Amino acid sequence: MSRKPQFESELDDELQFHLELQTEEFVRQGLTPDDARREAQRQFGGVEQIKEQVRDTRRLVWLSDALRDARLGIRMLQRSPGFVVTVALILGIAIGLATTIFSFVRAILLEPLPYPQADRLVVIRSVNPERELQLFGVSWPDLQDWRNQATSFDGIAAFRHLTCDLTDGQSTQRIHGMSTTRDFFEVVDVPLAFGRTFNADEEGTKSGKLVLGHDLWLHRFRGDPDIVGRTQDVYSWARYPETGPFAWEIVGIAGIDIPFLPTDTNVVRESPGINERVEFWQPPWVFNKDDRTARYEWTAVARLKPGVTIEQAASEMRLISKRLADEHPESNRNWSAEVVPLEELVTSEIRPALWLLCGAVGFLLLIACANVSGLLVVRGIARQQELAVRIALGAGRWRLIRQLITESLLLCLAGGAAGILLSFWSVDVVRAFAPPDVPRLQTVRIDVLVLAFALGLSVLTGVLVGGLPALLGSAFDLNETLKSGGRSVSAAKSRRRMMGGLVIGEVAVCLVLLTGAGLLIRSFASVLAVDPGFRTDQMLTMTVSLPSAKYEWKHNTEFCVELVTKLRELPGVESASAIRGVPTRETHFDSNLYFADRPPVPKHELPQAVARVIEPGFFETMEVPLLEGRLFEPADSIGRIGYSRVTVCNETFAKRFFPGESALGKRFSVTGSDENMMEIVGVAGDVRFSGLTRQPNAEFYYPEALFPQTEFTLLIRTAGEPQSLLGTVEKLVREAEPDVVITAPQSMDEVVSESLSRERFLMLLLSVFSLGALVLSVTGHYGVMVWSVSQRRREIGIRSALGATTAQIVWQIAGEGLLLTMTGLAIGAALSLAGARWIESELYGIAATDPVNLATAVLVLLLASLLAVTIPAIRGARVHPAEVLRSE
Amino acid sequence: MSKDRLELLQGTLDMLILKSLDLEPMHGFGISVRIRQMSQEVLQVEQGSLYPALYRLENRGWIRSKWGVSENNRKAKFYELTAAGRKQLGLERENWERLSTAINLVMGMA
Amino acid sequence: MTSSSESPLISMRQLCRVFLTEEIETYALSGVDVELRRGEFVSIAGPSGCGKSTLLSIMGLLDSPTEGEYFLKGDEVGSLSVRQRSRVRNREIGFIFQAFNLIGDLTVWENVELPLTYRGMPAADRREQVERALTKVDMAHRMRHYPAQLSGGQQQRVAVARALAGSPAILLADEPTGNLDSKNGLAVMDLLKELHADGATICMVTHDPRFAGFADRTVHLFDGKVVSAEEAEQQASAVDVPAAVAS
Repeated sequence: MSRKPQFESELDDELQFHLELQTEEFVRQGLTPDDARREAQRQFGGVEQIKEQVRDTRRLVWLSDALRDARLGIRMLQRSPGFVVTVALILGIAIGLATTIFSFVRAILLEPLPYPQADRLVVIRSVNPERELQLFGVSWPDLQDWRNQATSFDGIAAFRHLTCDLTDGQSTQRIHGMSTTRDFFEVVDVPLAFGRTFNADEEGTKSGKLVLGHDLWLHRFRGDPDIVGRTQDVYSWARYPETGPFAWEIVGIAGIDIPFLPTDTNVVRESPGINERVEFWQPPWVFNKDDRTARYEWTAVARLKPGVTIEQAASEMRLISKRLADEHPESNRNWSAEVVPLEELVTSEIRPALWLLCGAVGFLLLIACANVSGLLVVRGIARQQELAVRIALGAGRWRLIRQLITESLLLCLAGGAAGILLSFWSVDVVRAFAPPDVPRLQTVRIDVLVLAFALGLSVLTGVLVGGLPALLGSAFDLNETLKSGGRSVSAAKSRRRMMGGLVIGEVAVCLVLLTGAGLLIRSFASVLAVDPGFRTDQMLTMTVSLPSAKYEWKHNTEFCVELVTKLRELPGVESASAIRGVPTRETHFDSNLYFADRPPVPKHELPQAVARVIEPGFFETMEVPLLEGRLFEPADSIGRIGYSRVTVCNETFAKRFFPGESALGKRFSVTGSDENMMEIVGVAGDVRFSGLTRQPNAEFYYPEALFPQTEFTLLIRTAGEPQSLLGTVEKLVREAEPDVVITAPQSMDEVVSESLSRERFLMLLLSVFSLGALVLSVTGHYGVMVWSVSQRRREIGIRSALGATTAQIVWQIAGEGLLLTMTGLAIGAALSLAGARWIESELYGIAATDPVNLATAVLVLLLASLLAVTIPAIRGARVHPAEVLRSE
Repeated sequence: MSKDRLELLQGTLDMLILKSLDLEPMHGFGISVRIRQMSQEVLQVEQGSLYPALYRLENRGWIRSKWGVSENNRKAKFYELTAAGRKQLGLERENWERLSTAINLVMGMA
Repeated sequence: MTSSSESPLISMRQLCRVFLTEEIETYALSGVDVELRRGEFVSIAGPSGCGKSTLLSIMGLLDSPTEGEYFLKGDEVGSLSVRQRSRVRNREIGFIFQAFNLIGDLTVWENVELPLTYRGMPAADRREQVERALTKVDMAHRMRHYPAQLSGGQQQRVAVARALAGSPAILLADEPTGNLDSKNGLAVMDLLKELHADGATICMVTHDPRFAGFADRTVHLFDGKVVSAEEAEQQASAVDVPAAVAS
């Protein structure tokens, strides 16, 4: 308000005036002008002080006024508890849901990563724009060049994820950790509690040194500091044939536990994400020390030097890459490096979904606000008389507005309180439903920031909701209102326009939500309808890991086959098999393909496919159809370990590499040498190993006996409920090998269902939001109609007196209501189409602008509005004209 | 007038200001002069208390202000009693009479 | 102009209207016989609560009699359904209310046109009728204005035009001057007189004794029954209440 400076200058003038007169009086009493002025000043006691005192009084007065407003507001609200409860309910739900979503946003996006100064950490990735490749990894030689040449960073460290078995002879524990260069600890700033990190000579060799994570040290080693320097049996579990020495020396204990950094360069399995903590560090084993094309093992993380911006670092890296490309064209042509902030990498995948949810809940909140606003307008009308009297008694318009806004603030704070209570419950519920791979899911909680958000939201809502009704409610011609007992034509018109506007807005926003929910539902249904390529019901799975202490991969050829044979004999088991990796959630390694009878191709342009190791009964157990040729026969499993003479490929493989002809009889190898050629003897149906929403890869199969695995997934087709056989199967497995580690015993249906958890999550949430929006906007429209009809009783009576039939009146009233709906629908449809790209990334099998979906949503809303509009119209049209017209 | 005497009169100051406006509107300086005159020079209001009190009274709606021209042709802010203020004046006077009678009794003055 | 050879336009026989509350039965009208001939100007007079408005309501098909018969243009309309009454009302009755009862959101033109739109009359015909009616009441120059922009007298004139537009059988006026000052009230009464001179049938309820004289004859009501003029006088002085008491 610009009244403050005006007030100040007026006060100034007033005090100056007083001073002058006082001076004049002293002059009259005989003092010299100077003395008079001085005496007057002295008596006055300092103009500034007085001004300050007036200002203080003003502040106090303002405060007491505000308190009085609040007290009055509370009293007013106490008189209509039903109203307060309704509003608190509506707002409570909306604010509660908004707070819940915010708690997610806060945990995932707003909270800085748990590394010191995480905003300076970046990942340097390899990119090949020409081939549209974006890899996390970097080759070892490139990495060394980067370290030597780059000046923008306080160190570039490399890491990759690793899984090991830790055993002390009695119990084995699977631990997850990293293989890192020793400057990792500096770059990421991981302090040590005891001991040291790796020495320079320990890098690059199989040196058997270990740094333990803090938590692991506390729990497994009971926090014993003497463990440093002792050796432990750690069985590293790596893809490569050579297992390391069995006894590793613990050289240091980390001071904190850091979450895993994002990467996709894990050698064997799905990478642990930021939701898990690093349990150990190893020095790096580098297998491809000189191979610049091996870009899939090591991820580079770096810390920006103070004062260096990302753009500067990025352009430096681009320069360095160019230099490398010029120096090593065979391996580095077209390869560049890109610098990405770590925070961005962690959240990039979940961000679109999160924004989507924010938008949706924001819309819901808007609708709720519109509803409450409408309610306040109606209530304000009922109080016209009282407000007019207040004005007559001298309250200014702004005072009135302030009072009305105070009331709406109180209401909304009540709603906010209800919302906060709701959010305590709903955060837990939503978190339980959320897909487990959402980064930082466990840190989602209600904390001070979230509470402050809820409070701020309530206040904002209060001002928003109350503002318009307050402005309307206080703007009326005093005389007119007092005379007509609260009914004035022009105010009625602007009120009706505002209510109409609210309805239009609500319908539009509701349509947007309904469209979004519809898209997600259809999308989810499409995903459910995807054929995974195998039969998913009545199948039990579990992943079995053999302790690498006992089993070198070369020497456990029979274990899997024997185990599967025993399983088949169990009662209740119809068939059994095994495979490396779990269908629908498996990541993979691409193998290069060298086709016989085809011209040689430069290495980086080689076609690739995924190799899968299976127990030959796989196809039968999973009920994967055989399309051509034959499946594996016992003879195929006999031969040299690591080499197979035959293979079965999948349909995608056959179609991609042998279009238009049969793949049977074709030969290829994965090593490039003619010795290792394999012949394709069969083509099987596609199995969606990478998830239902991804296209199947080109894949081919190896028989397990020739590629024995120390970890594989059992697939057991059961006659009855899969879970019922769980205990029996486990017992049998442990009988075969007591030290085995069994993970993830589930039914296949569960596995598939879990792979859809993200789609399901979004669909459920958005459905809940849009259902709420639908209920709110339809009841809001209904309420506005009822109110509007009651306001127009007189007019309806007149029309009836002039001979309009009930049908004609209903038609007219309902028609006006429907016009509002149609306008809202048109606006909403335009908004839906305009905002289509926000939801695009979450859809499968349906376009974001799908017309059928939009039409369905429009229809649903239209029908609901029809009800909301017709019922009050019919009721209202039954006015007895004689009654209405008689009363004046 | 010493500071503590004036604090005693804090609530009474409002009454005095209202009374001094009873006859006709006046500006701040004039109010302090009038109070002094009517009390035969005993009561001298400090400006530090006068203006905050005027602000308070105006906010309560017992007086209202208007800018006008003073006797010596200068711009001044004039205050006048409102209807509500007049009523308040009556109430305050009643209160005061009751209070002072009671105190007199206690102090042994008839 | 009356024509005794024609049957009456309106014929009400033994009309009763009873209002039932939980405990009391109120006879607003009991055994009322009224006849109106075409072209007559009749006024209905009586103290407040005597049933004038009820009678007018029934006459205008806004209400149904509890007992008795009501013939309009030879047809029995007292026992029609709500829907049928609407139709008859729309075509045969023109209302003029004390409170004008124009619809604020519609222009003068639209207000006058309103009853015609309920009839399904084509637009061209409607335009003709509305123009004619507005010209007759001398309000054509304000046809785009809204009621809020007009004075009371002007609004009532528009209301008269609205009543006229559909060429109804009868005009019913319920205290047409009640909300107007004497000058405007007189103007409206002059208008009604003019219409009567042109052949309109008018039935008017009024308190104002000045205007009762504009009518050809007066029907006196007292306590829901028709009484003679002398009886009305007696009752009025007996109760010692001036006849022109606002209800």
